[in-house]
Amino acid sequence: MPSEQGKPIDPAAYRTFRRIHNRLSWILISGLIGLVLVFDLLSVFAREFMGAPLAEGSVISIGILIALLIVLVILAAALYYVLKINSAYLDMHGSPDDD
Amino acid sequence: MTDLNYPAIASFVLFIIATLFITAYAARRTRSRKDFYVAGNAFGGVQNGIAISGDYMSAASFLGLVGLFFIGGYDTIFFIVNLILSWAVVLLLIAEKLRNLGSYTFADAVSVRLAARPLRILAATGTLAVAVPYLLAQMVAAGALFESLFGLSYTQGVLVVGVLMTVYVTFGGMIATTWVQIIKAALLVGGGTILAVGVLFAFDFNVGKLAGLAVDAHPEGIAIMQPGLLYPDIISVVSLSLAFIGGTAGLPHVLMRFFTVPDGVQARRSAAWAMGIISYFQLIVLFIGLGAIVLLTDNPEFTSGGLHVHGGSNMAAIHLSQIIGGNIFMGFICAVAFATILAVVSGLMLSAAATISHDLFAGVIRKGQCSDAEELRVSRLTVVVLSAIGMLLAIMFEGQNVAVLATLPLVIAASANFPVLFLFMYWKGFTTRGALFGGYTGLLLAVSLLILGPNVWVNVLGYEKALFPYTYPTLFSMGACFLFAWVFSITDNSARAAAEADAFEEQLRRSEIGTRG
Repeated sequence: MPSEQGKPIDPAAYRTFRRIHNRLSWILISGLIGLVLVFDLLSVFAREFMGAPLAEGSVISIGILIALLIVLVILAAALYYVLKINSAYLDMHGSPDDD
Repeated sequence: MTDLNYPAIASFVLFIIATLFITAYAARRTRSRKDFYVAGNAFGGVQNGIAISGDYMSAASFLGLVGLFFIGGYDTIFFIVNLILSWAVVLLLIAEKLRNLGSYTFADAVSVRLAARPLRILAATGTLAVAVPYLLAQMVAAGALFESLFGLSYTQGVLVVGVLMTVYVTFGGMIATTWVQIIKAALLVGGGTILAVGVLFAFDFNVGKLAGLAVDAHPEGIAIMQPGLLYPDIISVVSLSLAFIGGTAGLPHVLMRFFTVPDGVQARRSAAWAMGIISYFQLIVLFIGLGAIVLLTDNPEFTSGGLHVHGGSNMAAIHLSQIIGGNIFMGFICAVAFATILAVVSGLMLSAAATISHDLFAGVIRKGQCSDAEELRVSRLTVVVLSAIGMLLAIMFEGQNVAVLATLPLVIAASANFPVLFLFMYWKGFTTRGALFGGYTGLLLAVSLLILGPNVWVNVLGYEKALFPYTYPTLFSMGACFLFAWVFSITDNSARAAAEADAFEEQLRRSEIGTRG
């Protein structure tokens, strides 16, 4: 089985890559969409909770903090995905392929 | 602001000189259609990621989002969170597969398994339905801004933007367009960072103090830190989310960028870099928005009371830059805004030209029997003709409320392009018939509901009440596209449908490792 670069790819290595790739993509994207959906639902149906101040004397709300945490989780998940899948891809091809 | 703004003129002229030099360099390297459409697949992941962020961050991402936060506070976070999530969707589900399956346009990818001619017509319709209104909105905004800041007439402003766009794309193709995007992204992120740091500096880097003063200054008070000012119901919120999630992954000028890298690894890196830059920029907008509330609300120099900013809420960031850094810094921010418009229209023009010359002319009219040189000539001619039409339309639309056009691209991309691309990539049972029924239904429904919604029916046509109550119809139009695509695929018992299902495994393998055939 040749790759785009014309190098042969071991079918077993390809199956491993495919399994890791599919599992990670779907787990991460389902989790992230679920997280944002929960944020949306809380912002509409639990306004008092999401709009409550973080602490006595603060005006920044719990909802804003949750949103910032979600953004950090999305970025961390993306970084993990790229490192993991690019590494698996290069393992499958058996050679480095850098910028 | 009727006086000439010399710092803005100087900054903008410098940007034009630099980008024209790059175009001259790119023109010498653009010899084939592969160079013209996708820069010969020669860009690396980091370069392409910065360019994608430049393509994606339009003036609306900066001026519009600051203006929206200035008015609506907390609810702007729906935009930010969903926009960043949308890039996760692109990264995890679309980028690599698209790169491995396609060549120049996303229709190339879909044509791998489904019938090429009808799908190319659908893709071209979807691409033009996204690109034309987006282009028009940007050019009208450019004309108006030129008029108020550079002392040129509206028509002259439109002509300057139109001619520069034509030169970049016609001569430099994707190479010039990519470098223009990279420079613009650097300027936009740099300018935004300086503005945000300036705001924080003015408040001793104390975010709590800044937020407290914003609450005190804003007419809505503490409500700006709570949900509900802009989007009070769940359908509006979910529709907005879907518009971003599907829209980003369906914007043709963004999708086309993934073909400029050599492989799937670089495609993933591109998406990740774009996501990081865009996320950073969206987050600093929060600080800029808070600063705008504190420093502009009721400020007689920049408002006519309360939140009524001179020139509209989209000018909030520009006025804020004057307060923070004086005329010179405001001039720089204005020039960045123009550079942003110029870069975005160039990317849009390239994607529109590619779909006409590659999908329609070469793929449909000539049925693939078209030489490289001939297609390149048609591409360049298309750019010139489309630019002329764009300039003419922008001049005709002078003074019209075209803000509505800015919502069209995301909704249409989410309702027609994204479902077709997603189902094609992940569902074996997806057929040409399902793609056509689903795609056209999503497209027509999105456009119809946008016209019947508050943005057009009330704000443009002047009726008292909208026939469709939601600003974003994505929940319905995207839902209809998926439903029709599913129904017309599972009821398709033709031999072609069976062959398309049989070809799925090979498509999957190719999408994952880049094997051609």
